Amino acid sequence: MALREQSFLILVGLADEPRHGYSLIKQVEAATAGRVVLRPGTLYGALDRLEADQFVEIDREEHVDGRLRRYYRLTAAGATMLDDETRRLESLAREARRRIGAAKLRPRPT
Amino acid sequence: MSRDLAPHVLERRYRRFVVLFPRADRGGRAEELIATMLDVAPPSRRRPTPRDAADLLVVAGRAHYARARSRAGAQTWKDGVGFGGGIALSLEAIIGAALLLHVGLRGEMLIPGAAAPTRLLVSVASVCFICAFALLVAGFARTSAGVAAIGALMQCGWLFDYARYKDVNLVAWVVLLVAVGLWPAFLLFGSAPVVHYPPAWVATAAFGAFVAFMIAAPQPHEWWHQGYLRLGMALSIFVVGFSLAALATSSWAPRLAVAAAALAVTECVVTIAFLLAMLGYARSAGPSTRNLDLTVAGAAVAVIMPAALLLSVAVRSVRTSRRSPRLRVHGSHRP
Repeated sequence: MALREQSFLILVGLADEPRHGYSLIKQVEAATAGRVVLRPGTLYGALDRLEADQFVEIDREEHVDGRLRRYYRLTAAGATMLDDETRRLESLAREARRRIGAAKLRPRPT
Repeated sequence: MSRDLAPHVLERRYRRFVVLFPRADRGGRAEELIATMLDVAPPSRRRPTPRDAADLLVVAGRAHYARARSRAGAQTWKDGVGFGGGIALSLEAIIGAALLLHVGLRGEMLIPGAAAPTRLLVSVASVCFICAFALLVAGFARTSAGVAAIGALMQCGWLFDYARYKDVNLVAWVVLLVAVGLWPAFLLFGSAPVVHYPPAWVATAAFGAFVAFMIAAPQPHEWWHQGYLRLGMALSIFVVGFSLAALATSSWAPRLAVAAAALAVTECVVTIAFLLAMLGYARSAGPSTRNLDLTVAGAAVAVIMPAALLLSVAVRSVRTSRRSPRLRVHGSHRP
């Protein structure tokens, strides 16, 4: 099963340590060089699905200035999923690179 | 207002949305969502953006749906949908009987001057609905759904035929096709039809009496739409009333809430279709007070439906919070 890009990006954001919503949005923004800026509503929609699929879970809750910060972490299944998906994308990228290289060697029809 | 107060103002405004969430999610999901929205907001912002407001509504709606699902279970949904389809069919059967009676007694349709094929299609559709209802009562749910679907198709044919004369928007017709296709599908895929639930009989009988009254009541103008407007009004009032009753009792009768939702969805789609049709008709017939009245009436119904549903959801959450005055525990760790 291929992940949606959003879900994949969230898993990537959680790969190294548990994070809360705002930190995740920033992580995703940084990882995609500003291309993807998740809105909070979208983020929690995706987190809902990932939680239901048991790819992420709540790590802990903190209160900062009276505001709730809930930290999420990857589950074992989530880590495996991230690993598989990354492998798939790597092999896809390798294949793409190979084909682009092969096309460059051939003289272009004019 | 000074600039450093802006975050507090914004926070208060975002927190107003918390009431939209199911009680159990207010401390958790709603809080973290609002906290994140506040984190993302630039310091000068003082009002929630429309997109954030829409997101809050969507997330809250999804939370309600998830709660209802987990509380009710799949079987309740199947029951409720079949139940809603059964009620829709009983309404169609009553309306069909009213139309047939009208044709029989006055020798004409509610639409004066309707073409012969239209008259035939209306009559066949009405007979189909009455037969389907009888089949449902007799316990042949699948056959009933099939016959009802044929009736719905006839109804569409009639509307299509009518649309040719009156220059009704084709989009409206397509939307209506979806709507009349909806409830035979409910009937087919649902279970536990209306016949097993005595209060539904009472409600249906009340609706029948109401329709009879609406048809028999003296008509101030001999206008084709009068009868239809009355039927539509009777239908809308019934569905709104049913939805309110169902939502008020949903804590102990979740099937009823699902049935109401199924009915309300159908009703909303029908209303949108009629609104489109009226707008198309009003445009083609030129500006006149009568057409404007119709459009305004349609728009009112379209707005009243969702408003009534929202209101009933609000009423329900107030009732629930009164019943269980449980302290919300922040900062609790989930296992």
